[in-house]
Amino acid sequence: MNNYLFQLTMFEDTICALATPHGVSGLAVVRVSGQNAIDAVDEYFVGKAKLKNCASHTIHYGKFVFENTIIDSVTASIFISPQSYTGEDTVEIGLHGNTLIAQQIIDILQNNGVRAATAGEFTKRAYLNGKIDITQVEAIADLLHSQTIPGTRLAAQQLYGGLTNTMKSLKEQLLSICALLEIELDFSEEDLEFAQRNEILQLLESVKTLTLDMMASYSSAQLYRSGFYVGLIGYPNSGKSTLFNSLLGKNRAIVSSVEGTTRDFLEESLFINGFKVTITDTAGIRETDDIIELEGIKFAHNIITMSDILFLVNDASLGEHYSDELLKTIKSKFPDKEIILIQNKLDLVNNLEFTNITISAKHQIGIDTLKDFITKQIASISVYGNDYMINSRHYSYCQLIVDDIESAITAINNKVTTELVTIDIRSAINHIGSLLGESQEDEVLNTIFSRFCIGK
Amino acid sequence: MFDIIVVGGGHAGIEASLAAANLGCKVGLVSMDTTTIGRLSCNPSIGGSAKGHLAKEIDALGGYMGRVADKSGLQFKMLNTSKGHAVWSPRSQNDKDLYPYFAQSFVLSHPNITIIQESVVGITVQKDAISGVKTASNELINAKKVILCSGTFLNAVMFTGLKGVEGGRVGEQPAKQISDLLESYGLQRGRLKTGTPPRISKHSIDFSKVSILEGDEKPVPFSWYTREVKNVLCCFSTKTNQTTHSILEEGFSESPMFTGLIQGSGPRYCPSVEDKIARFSDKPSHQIVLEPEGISTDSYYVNGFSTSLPANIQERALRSIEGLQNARFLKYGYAVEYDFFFPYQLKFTLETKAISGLYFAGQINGTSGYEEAASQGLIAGINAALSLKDNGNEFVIDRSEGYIGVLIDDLVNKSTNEPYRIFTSLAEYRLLLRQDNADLRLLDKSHSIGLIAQQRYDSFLRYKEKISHLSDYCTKTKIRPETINQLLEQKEATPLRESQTIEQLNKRNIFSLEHLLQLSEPNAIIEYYSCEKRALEQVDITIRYEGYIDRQQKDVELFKKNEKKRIPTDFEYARIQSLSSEGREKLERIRPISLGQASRISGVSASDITAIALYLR
Repeated sequence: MNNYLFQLTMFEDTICALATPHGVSGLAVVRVSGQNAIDAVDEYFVGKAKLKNCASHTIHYGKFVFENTIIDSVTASIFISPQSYTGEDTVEIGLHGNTLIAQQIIDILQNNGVRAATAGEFTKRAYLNGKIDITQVEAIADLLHSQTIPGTRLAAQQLYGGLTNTMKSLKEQLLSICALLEIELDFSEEDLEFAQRNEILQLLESVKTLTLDMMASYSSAQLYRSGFYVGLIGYPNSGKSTLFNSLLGKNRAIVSSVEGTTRDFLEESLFINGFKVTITDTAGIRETDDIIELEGIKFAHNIITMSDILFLVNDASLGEHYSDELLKTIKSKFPDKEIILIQNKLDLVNNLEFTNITISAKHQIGIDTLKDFITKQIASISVYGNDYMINSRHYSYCQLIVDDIESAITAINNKVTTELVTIDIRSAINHIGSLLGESQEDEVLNTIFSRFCIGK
Repeated sequence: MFDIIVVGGGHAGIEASLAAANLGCKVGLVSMDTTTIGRLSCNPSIGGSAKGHLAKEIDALGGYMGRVADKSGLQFKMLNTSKGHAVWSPRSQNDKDLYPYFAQSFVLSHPNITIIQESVVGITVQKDAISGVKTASNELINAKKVILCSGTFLNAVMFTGLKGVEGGRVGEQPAKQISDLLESYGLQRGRLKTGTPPRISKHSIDFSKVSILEGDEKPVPFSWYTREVKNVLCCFSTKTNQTTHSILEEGFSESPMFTGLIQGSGPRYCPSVEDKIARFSDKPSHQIVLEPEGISTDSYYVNGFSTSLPANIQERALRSIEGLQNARFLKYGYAVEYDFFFPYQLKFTLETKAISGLYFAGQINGTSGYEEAASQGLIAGINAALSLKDNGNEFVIDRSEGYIGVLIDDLVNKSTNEPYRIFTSLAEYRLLLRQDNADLRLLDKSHSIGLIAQQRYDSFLRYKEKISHLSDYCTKTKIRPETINQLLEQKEATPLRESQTIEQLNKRNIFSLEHLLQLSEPNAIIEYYSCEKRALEQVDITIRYEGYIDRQQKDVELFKKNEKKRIPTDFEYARIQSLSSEGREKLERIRPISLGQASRISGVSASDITAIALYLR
């Protein structure tokens, strides 16, 4: 009860936060939203006109003055309710990009009854004020966090309801199936025909296929969201770190001919065709009694799991098949991983008749070919043409929906009685509801809003 | 001075009076014509799909409908046995003279009930609380609580063709002023219609041209109180044809509904025959069931032929049907239009929110059907009686406990614009709410407030014990491969490699549980349980549907969790701007007590609920 009252008063107040990253930058923005937003800023804003007399969607230059001291020269952008991100009166104060200035302004506003916003609070208000629905909230999070250009574009489309519309049409289809079965259950003895089983099976199959398609797009959505991960593995001293440096075009890893130089792992990113590609260099894998290095090897296993693709670097000077044993071991441990064998130290080998990709990391030979290869890999797992972006929350609900539908299909095929089939279908409908945020479950909402930082 | 006055002696009024009287209240049952108490004014039958569930629940709550139906039953049939247990539903054909006879005998013989033959024209209210009723002879009857079960009698008009006659049933007067009076207290009313088919003489039916519909080989009673029932008569079926349809169409210009004379909405699920042919014009024929109305009457009820068309059209149309060429009409079909009060104005106890101590039950709340009415009468009667006791507890059945809960929850949250009929598809937890376990679901609850005689409760406890013993036996007792493999092979089923429990084997759905018990040792248990088929049935169903039952039980847990998320009664919905305007209006009107309830209010969208949930966090 206390919590409820607290929330109620909380919602009536005005909040502010730095909406741009901390640190030195060209420009910073402090966002103020709530009933008193305009009045609160007006107290300190000295410009040509009072902000409360200005029209919505206008920008005003002026000074932010506190106790006769100019804090900064600023711009104030005015958004009058409901024409703002949150749906409330909002002022965005543009100032010079120094966190100290922003902090002073926030402190001053707080002395004037404005409260510091909590993480995600602006978006939460936008949601509560009916500006956006729950999948749009998620789309905003994706838009903020996306590591690729296609990712930001997809998230922008989702913001226009892409996922919601797709799921709603699935729900409609399931409801119509359910209606057919319910009629049969409640009316059949009153001379109505039975619903055709093969028709219902067909409908269920089509819903399942659509859901599976959505799930299939998860890997590309992940790719769009987080970028592409390349893991470098191999025996010690096979030249992984040299390759790492060559791919990045700078010396990041310490390179030496002593085995086991890379004790931990290194991670760096570069952009290839608008995609963030993260390359991870691991410690060499071998039997060893060095405790610190063992720790590194444990990391190597995690990195293998995380990577979209593994480059197994072989020291060709020790023989084409020198790493085959390692390849076999990793393949057996991670059967689903794509592993590319790369013959390194081309410069030290006379015989060039290798079937694998051949490079000399040290002499920058074959590095462009390797980059082209990565580009092709990205293209092969990215699915264009969707107007939605699946996240792990959606993915797990899709899995539940598929389970329900498969259970219904099995039940129908096994001639299980109709009212049990409806339990599966109703369950699928409920899961779509949860996916769309039509659920009172706190966990769902918490998960969704946890992805926001303060200021959004 | 009565504790409780019940207005109306229909199915709702009977249950309300008897429940309150059994809970120790002094009850006055006011009826315009006391000989009509308990009449089957439409079809001569009790139960049917989902309605049978209600009848069984009424019995588990100490109600009377099942007992009366058993005593006056002519034919008994379990419907939907080709489908799963959840939708099995008992139905009986009843003698329309014997039904009211037995119903009246219960009411008349109850020491706490006084029958008053009067027409109620008004209620008296003091400080927003009921204080009694006013009769046509201008007499005031004081009461602490009043339960209004006026059926179709409020401002009722009957139609056969374009001829409208005031009255709720043929030859009976309508109740007029009371409806206006209630409206003056701020209660909102609407208009509904219902209809009934013609009754024809048995001697005019050509039985050689219609098919026989038999009852069950082993008829099962509704009530715990009934030892056994017998099938005495059977029903017959025939069907309409194209000629019938074109004759009926000729009469559309004189139909009180199609011409707009009747404005009220009719039941979508129990449509008149003219509605059926207008809406399903591609169907070449509709089924007609001829149901005998009793042993001492020649009257047959023409089920499926509900109509309000002019008499000559009814005659010609019916006589175009196979077997009914010479049909002689005893009573023409007619439609009744009447006032009802939107049920969102009720609490879950069926007390009106506007007037404290005034309860509504039955068709006044927009429902159709005897069972729906009786269920509400029972709940209103129980709650009116409990409210007079010191602790003032409420007796509410929720959606996970029974169809009665589904019914009342729907009425309060969704209200209705057409006559509301119960369906199994309305129950989310259908597999748990079976007609066979109504007592297991409800008897503890009804016993706890004193509605169940000790003798019956003791027998119930013994029954529960048998179930738990038997189910224990089934999980522990194994059957060896050598005992069963030969039988399995005969059925072309995979034989056993090692011993399996009866439970495991029963899930395979090859042998009946009874058969498996016989195969197991010791044999003694069979003899013990063969006389208690009901316990066997419970264990069988529980084992067989285990997976699905578990899933539904998890859903129930979630449901209960959301029912516990309270919304403060003074919650200001206006503060959440994101609520849809319809949603906000409905929420302010109904004022749900929990987030769960809010989610079931029609017009409140899922995003409205999420917004409230976020707000409440």
